[in-house]
Amino acid sequence: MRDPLRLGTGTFQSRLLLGTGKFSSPAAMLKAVRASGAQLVTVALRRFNREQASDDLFGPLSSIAGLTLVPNTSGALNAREAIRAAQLGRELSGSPYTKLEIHPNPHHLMPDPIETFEAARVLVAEGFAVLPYIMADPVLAKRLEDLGCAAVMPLAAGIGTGKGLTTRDLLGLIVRNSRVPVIVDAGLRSPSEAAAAMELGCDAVLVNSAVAAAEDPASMAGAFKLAVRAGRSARLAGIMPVSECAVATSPLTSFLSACNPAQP
Amino acid sequence: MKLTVNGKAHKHQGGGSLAELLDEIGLTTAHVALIVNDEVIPSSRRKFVRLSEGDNIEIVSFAGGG
Repeated sequence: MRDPLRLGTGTFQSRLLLGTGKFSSPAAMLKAVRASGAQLVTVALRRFNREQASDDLFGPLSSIAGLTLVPNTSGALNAREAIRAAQLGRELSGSPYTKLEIHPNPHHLMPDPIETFEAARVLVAEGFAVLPYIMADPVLAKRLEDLGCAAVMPLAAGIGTGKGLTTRDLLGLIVRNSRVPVIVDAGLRSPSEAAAAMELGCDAVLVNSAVAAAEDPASMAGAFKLAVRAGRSARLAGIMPVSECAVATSPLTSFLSACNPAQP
Repeated sequence: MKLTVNGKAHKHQGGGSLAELLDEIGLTTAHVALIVNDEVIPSSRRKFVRLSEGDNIEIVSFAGGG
């Protein structure tokens, strides 16, 4: 496998992670997952509904070969609830990955750094590959890495806002200092933003609303797949430095003026 | 035996194990995870967990999420 994403003990060829929320139907979601080429997809937990057992996504997602399910802890308001959600998620997914998200305020859904840190400490000790959703805070990212998290997932903008890479400078600082994968999560709207995050040196990108809320989710999933690949290739190729003044790409020899007849 | 299952009252008529409760409500083969009174129960232990009057059982499954 060339240039794999190493996450915990797993290796993945795709650097695009896809969320499964907000799709118009399970069929639309599955089509988008296939088109995205994602090998890691996030899922949420909810009370089993006997009247609508078809809502359970485990069966349909299991039909896609090579997919690893990453349960999130969405809905948890504190560390205690998040730990329980992660344990339930592991029961269902059979994988060690948990996307740790604790966002108590429904208005902005910004992650609670203190409860997240506390939950991460417990979950790492319980053997989880913890992927914490955090503000783009380089200090917190480092602290979570030191704790043993498998990656950090700083936000680009608020969940579902589509405001793009608003945390660009901070993401750059996190990338520079991080020894675990940096996965940009939340806020992206268009593939060019995903490419920009990868060019910045982020290791992977997670999108959900950007695909689910597109007019044609499967086509958008395919576009994100290409953008993430392009951004990663550009990063590996070494992007040219910025220059303050123009640097000519064509020769500026003066043969044209040399042919002019002598001026009177 | 009176139980609370996913927030609703449920009268259990079976033998009183967690596995028998799942049989009773038709979830033997469903892909669900279980909490009994705040404790997450691994699927391997379902047969051995004895329920008691008033127990609170939560049954969860996967749904779409980012």
